[in-house]
Amino acid sequence: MRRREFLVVGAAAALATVTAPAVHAQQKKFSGVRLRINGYGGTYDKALIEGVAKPLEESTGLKVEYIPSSTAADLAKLISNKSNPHIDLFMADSPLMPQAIAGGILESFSASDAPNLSRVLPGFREFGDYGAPFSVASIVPVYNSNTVKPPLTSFSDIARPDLKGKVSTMPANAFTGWIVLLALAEGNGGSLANMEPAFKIMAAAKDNIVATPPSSVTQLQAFTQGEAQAGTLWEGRAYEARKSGTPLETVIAREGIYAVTSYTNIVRGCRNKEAALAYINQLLSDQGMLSVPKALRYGPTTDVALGELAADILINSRERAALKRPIDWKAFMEQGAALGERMTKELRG
Amino acid sequence: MNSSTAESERRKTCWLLLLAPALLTLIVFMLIPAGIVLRISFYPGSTTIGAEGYSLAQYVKFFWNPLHLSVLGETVAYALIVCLGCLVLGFPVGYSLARHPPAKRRVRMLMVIVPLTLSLVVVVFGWLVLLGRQGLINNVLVWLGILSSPQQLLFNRTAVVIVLIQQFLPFIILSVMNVVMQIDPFLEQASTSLRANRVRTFIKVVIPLSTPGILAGLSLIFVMAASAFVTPRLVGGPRAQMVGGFIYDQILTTSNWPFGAAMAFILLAVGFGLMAALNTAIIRPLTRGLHVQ
Repeated sequence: MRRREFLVVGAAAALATVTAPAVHAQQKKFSGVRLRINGYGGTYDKALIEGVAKPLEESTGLKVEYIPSSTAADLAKLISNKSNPHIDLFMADSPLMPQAIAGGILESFSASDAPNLSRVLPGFREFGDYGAPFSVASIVPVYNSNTVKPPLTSFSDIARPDLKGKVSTMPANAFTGWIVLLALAEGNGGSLANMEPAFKIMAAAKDNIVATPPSSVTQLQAFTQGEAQAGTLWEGRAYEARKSGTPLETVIAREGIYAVTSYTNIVRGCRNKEAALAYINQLLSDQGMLSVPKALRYGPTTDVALGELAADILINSRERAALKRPIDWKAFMEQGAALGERMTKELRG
Repeated sequence: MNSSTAESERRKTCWLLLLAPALLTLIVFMLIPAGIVLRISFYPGSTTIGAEGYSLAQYVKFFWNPLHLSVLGETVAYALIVCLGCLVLGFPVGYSLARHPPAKRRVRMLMVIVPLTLSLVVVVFGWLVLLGRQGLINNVLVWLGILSSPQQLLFNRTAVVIVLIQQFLPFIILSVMNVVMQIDPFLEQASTSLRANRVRTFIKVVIPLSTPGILAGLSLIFVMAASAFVTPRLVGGPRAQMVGGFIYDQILTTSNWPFGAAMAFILLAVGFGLMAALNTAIIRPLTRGLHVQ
């Protein structure tokens, strides 16, 4: 080969080597597209990155950026800045969904847009054509099996006389506390329209309750540091406590299972709706659906097979899913502030 | 005469130019947003979406509810107790720092300032670990035989006061130190030479002369303590409530911005009112006729 030919061939080979990944990427459906989604932070986001974002990027080139923040603050931003949303996908739990829908910030979609939506179990898509439910977390009665005997069997047991100074429950100023109130009401003949039974139990439990920590992390800490021996907690956090050596048992209460579903929504005006639907389809696939249960032991919302994970997850079958109590989230949230104030009043005495 | 008027005008312009960036920042980032929040507080409903008109409904709702009033009272009480605690603990430290030679003062000042560089949440979590049943304080007390078993030190009003005092102590120390540094030590010596004992010198000379620093520090602490919400939430338990937490809930949990805005302005008004009353009743009589160099 002459020197000139050698140089031409060499240059062509080098160019091909350098540009090959770019050319390959160009062929992927969503290469160059980046979607922003609010994150719940920590392990939760890591799980979603591993099970949803990474596989999707490998197969389609779509990049998803998780921005950890407060969901309520994100909702407020989206409502106040509709024309220029700061995120394309919005993760929110059931209690915030009615406000997001009323605020007109969400796109609707159906199984024809994201086929895996057809796998969602009955009762989990609570808001019509809005949102893709991808995880369910339950608030359950818990107790330290070393120090609390007999075991708790219901939410109302937080008022048991033997638990004086030993109970931690959800705060009055958050929907988690209001869910506990609803469980107390429904378990004692009340309803969302008649919450008096709940406040009676709360008043009776006043001297038992030592803490109402504001976040799930501090709630967990109250149990692992021995500040509380019984009360109510997210099932996933109870699993964490057991993993770290605190024998915190969860109870399927006689009132039923009170759970909050997490949704991923498409924000109206998002950069690329087709890419957003692809994300949702991946989220509801077996791989995506198992990511949160694997990391945090929160339940799935589809018919995915849980395998060995089932033993650690509360809502792990269709039968268990049927125990989930339906909640009218719109009415529930409309009453929330009043419920919280009354609970605060009862606890302050 | 003309030249002095021109000079005076020129000086005025220079002052205005120097003040302009700070004034502009205050107007754009504080006064205008505060005005918007004030406007929101006069919306009649529980949402700002589609809201219009003016109403005092949010303010009536606040003052009509005994729970809100008791929480407001508790908030003011916390702020006053924290101010008093900071003053008692911080004044001697600030005074002694001011009287130290500069080289020694620098190291000690660093020790005062470093806690301010830590995130509030980190500080509070530190206290959660310290005051927990398995925390250092319980362990030491049990080891010393003072307690037979670990006690609950968290989730009560005392814990809130202790953590707030720790958070805000540096502000009074720095304020007192700055003002005491400007007090000529000869004044204290003069007082002593006129047969005043140390206590009398302290009460009649040091305190009146350092009042501006005390007032500045206490104003800062009062405002920050009254608007605290992270600390009471994390260490306070169900019975320790402050208005700051209520405002946070209205804005971010229930999205009732009008009521949250009204509570914010009520807290602001109460804060201003108390500081003005404090100034009129205590500070002015103490500082009447005194000039700090």
